Amino acid sequence: MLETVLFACFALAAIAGAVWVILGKNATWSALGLLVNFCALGALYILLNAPYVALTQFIVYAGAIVVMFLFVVMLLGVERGEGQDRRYFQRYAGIGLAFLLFLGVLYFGLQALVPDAPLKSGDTVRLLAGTLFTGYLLPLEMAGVLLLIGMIAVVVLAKKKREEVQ
Amino acid sequence: MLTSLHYFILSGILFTIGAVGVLVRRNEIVMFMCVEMMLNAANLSLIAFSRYLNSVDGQMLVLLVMAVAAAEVVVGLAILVALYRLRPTVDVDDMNELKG
Repeated sequence: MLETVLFACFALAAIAGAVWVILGKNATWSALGLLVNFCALGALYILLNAPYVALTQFIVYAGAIVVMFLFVVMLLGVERGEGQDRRYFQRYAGIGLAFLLFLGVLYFGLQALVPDAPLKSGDTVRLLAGTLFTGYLLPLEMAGVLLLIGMIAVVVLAKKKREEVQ
Repeated sequence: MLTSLHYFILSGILFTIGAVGVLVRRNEIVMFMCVEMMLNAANLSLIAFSRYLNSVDGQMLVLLVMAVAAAEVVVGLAILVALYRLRPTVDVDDMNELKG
């Protein structure tokens, strides 16, 4: 019973955060909505018995990624809103297409799912650590290499050309 | 009784809201945030399935998705900054130079 109430609260918070992102007048407000959405999803991960992933969600998404978005918003100085939409049909076409996408996702997802199966519980952190360093060792190393490549790419992209500096 | 069906429907709703944001908003930073929300919605369904199947493979996938998403955000925001230096606008409708 408590779990259902908590799920309802955090699900509503996640949806409210997501709507806040797309309705936000400027990018700073959208970043705050994104923070609400990420935190609510982290709480849902705890409800789903995945505490390690929840912690990673709080640190990586709610911490690092939102801060990086805010940093870029401040750096570009784009606190003003976007200009008037030039094609009005775009908005309605977008909403209609997204609704069709929702129906498609539900249709194909529900075919894969046996409904009304109760959720199981158990200690997952120990199991996760064991799996991470045995079966998934190669993907783990590749993720590390990918992050290194990302860092190098950022330095290359953000660096000014030599003639611009002089 | 709470089942994985609820989590799955919530994940679909969040994914759809993210898709609406990408299609409707014209501010490139907000569009990028909406892509992140769609990634998170997919992560939620992976975790829900992981618990439903009583296996940690879904959680492993989510951890790897987070690493890829972090790299993606870093490179994407660097591209946005480089693009802004080239042409000071954040409206994607103004970026139409490849139209020929």
